[in-house]
Amino acid sequence: MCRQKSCNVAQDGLCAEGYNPVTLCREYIPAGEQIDEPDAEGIYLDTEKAAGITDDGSREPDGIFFSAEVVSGLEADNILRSSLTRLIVIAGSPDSGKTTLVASIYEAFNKGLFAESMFAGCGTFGGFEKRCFTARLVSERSIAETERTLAERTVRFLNISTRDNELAEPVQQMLFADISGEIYQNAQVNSEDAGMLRFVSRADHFVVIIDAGKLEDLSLRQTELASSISIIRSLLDEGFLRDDSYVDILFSRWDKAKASTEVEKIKRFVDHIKSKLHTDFAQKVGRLRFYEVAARPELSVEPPYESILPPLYNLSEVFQGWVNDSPLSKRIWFSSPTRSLSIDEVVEDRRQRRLQ
Amino acid sequence: MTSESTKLIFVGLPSSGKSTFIAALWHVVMFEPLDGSLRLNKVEGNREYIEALHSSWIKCEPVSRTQGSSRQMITMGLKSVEAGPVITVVFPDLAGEIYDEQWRDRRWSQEYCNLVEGTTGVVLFLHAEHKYKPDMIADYASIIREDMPLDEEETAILPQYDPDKACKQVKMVELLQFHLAQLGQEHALRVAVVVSAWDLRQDINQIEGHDLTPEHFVEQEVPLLYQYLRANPEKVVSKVYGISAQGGDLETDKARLQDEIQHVNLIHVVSSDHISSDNFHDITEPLKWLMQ
Repeated sequence: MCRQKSCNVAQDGLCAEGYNPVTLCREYIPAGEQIDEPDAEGIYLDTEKAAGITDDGSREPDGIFFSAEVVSGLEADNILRSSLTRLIVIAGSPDSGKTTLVASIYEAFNKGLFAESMFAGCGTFGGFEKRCFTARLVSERSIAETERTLAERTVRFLNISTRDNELAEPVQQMLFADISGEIYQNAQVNSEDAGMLRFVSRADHFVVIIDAGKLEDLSLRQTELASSISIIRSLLDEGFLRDDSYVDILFSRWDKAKASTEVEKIKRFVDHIKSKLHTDFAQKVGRLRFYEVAARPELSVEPPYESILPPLYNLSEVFQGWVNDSPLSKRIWFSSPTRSLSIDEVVEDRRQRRLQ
Repeated sequence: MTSESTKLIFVGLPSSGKSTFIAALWHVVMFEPLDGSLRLNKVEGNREYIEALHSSWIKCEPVSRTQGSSRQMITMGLKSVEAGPVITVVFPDLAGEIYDEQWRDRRWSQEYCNLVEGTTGVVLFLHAEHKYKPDMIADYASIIREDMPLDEEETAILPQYDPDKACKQVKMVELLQFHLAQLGQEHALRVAVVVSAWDLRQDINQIEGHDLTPEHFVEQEVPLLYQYLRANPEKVVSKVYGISAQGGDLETDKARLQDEIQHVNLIHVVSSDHISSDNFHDITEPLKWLMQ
C-alpha cells in the first residue's frame, strides 16, 4: 500500500507518482509492513498546535486544526503532489511589489471573475487577508499599502485555487512562492542561499520583479538590472532553471514610470534590460517574457484622486499565462521540489499520464 | 442518499438571521403546517429557548439572539406529513459566535467534530443587509482623503490586522471549506444558501427599479462565495433562497404584521422554483431540497 491517500497501488498496482517498479517510491509500503498513522485531515498551523499544545504548555482537547496563514514547505509539497498545481515563484528586491502583485490578484477575485477564471478555493486565507488589510477601508488608512514581508530568510507560499469560467478544465491549485528580498539578494552570490531555492526546479513559472519606479534613479537602475541578471544566472548555474524553464520579467509600478518626467529615459533603459536579458538568457531558458505591470497604481495626491493606469494593469494576461501554460508537461520532473533529488526519483510526468 | 441518513447543520455568522428562521420554522412545523411542509418529530436541547424565540416572533417583536458564554444548541427531528423518514436538523450555536471562533482560531473542537459527523447538508445563512465584500481604499479615495488628509495620517495610530476584521465573504467560504474538508462526502455536499431578511432586499430592488433574484444577490454581493460554489460542482451542489421570516420591518410594519391572522403568511420564500414571494410561505422548503 501507499502512504498517499490518493494512490491506488494496493488496488491496481500502479504508483500515482509513476514509479516503475513501485518499490522505488518512498511512499510505498510493502505488504506486511506497518503503515504510519495517517495525518488528520486539514493543514496544521504548526507542529505544536497539531499536537494540541497550547501557548501555556497545556494540552488542548482533541480537535482538528485547519489551514495555515502561509503554507509551509512541507504543506506546499503535499499540495504539489496531491493535485494539479501551478507553482509560481516570484523573486525580486525588497519592496519591489511581489506581495502587492499576489495580493491584488486575490483582491480581484474578491470582486468577481479575473482573467477568465473563477475563484475555486484558498488554503491561506489568513495570509492573504493580513497582506490585504492595509489596502482596505477597515484599516483606517487613506493610502492603500501592502504589509511588508518580514525581513527574514524564508520562502512563504500562498495558495489559491482557480477554475476556468466554462468549467472545461478541472480546478487548478496555484501556489505562489514569495521569496524574501534577503534570500533574493543573497542567492545571487551565495550558493547556500541559492540552494534554498531548489524548489524553483519544480516551478511552472519563475518571475523576476523589477521595480520600474526605481529606474528613474540613475544610482539604482543598474543595480536592478544586475540583480535580475545575477539571480537568473545563479539559478541556471545551480540547475534550478533549465533550458525549458518559463521565466517572466515583470516591470512593476509601471504607473510610476509613466508618470515620471523621465519616462522616455525609463523606457529606453527598460528596452536595454529586455535586450540584455534576451541576449544572455533567451537561448538558455524555455521561454522569456516581459511585461510592464501595475498591480495597484497609485492615486493622484490631488483630486480627482485617479490613477494613470487601471488597476491590475497587464496582470490579466500575465495570470492567464500562469494558469494555461507550463513547461512541466514537456519534461520529466521530480516528485518533490523540497527534498534532495536522486536518480532513483526520476518519474514520468503526472500530467502526461493524466492526459492519457 | 436516503432521508433516514439526512442530517443538516445550520451555519452562519452572528446576526445572519438564524434565530428568526428557527422561530418561524418552529411556527410552521408545530403550529401552522402547510401542505407539503415538514412537521416536527422531536426536539432536543433548550426547548424553552425555542419557545421564547417563537413567542417574540408571533408578537412581531425582535427575536433577540443569545450572546455570551451560554451557547444554544438545538437539534430537531422533522418529517414529511406522510410519516416518512425523519431528518435531523442541528443548530450548533444560534448566536453564531462559534463560527467567528472557527475562523479566528482555525480549529474545531472535538465536540463540534462529533456534532457534525454524518452531516449530509448545510444551510448557510447570509443577511440581505450585511456587507460581504471588502471596501477598498482606492474606491473611496476622494471621501477618505478629505476626511483624513495625508499629513494627519502620518501621526495617527492606525489599527493593525485582526482576523476579526477579515471580510465576511472570506469567512463564509472558509467555513464552507472547513466543512467540506471534514465531512468526507462520497457525494457532493448539498448547501442551501439562505439570504435572510429578503424583504429588505426586495424593497431596495423596487426603489432601484430592477428585479434581483437571490442568486443574483449572491453573485453581486458575495462574489467570492458565488464563484466558489460555481467552480466546485463536484464537491458542492447549491441552491439559493431568499427568505423573509418576519414578513417586514418590525418598526414600521408592526401593525400590519400583527394584523395578519395566519402568521405563516408572514413568511416569504423565494427561489428559482418560486420566483414570486407572495404565494409561497413554506420555510421548510430549503430543508426539503437538502433531503433530496
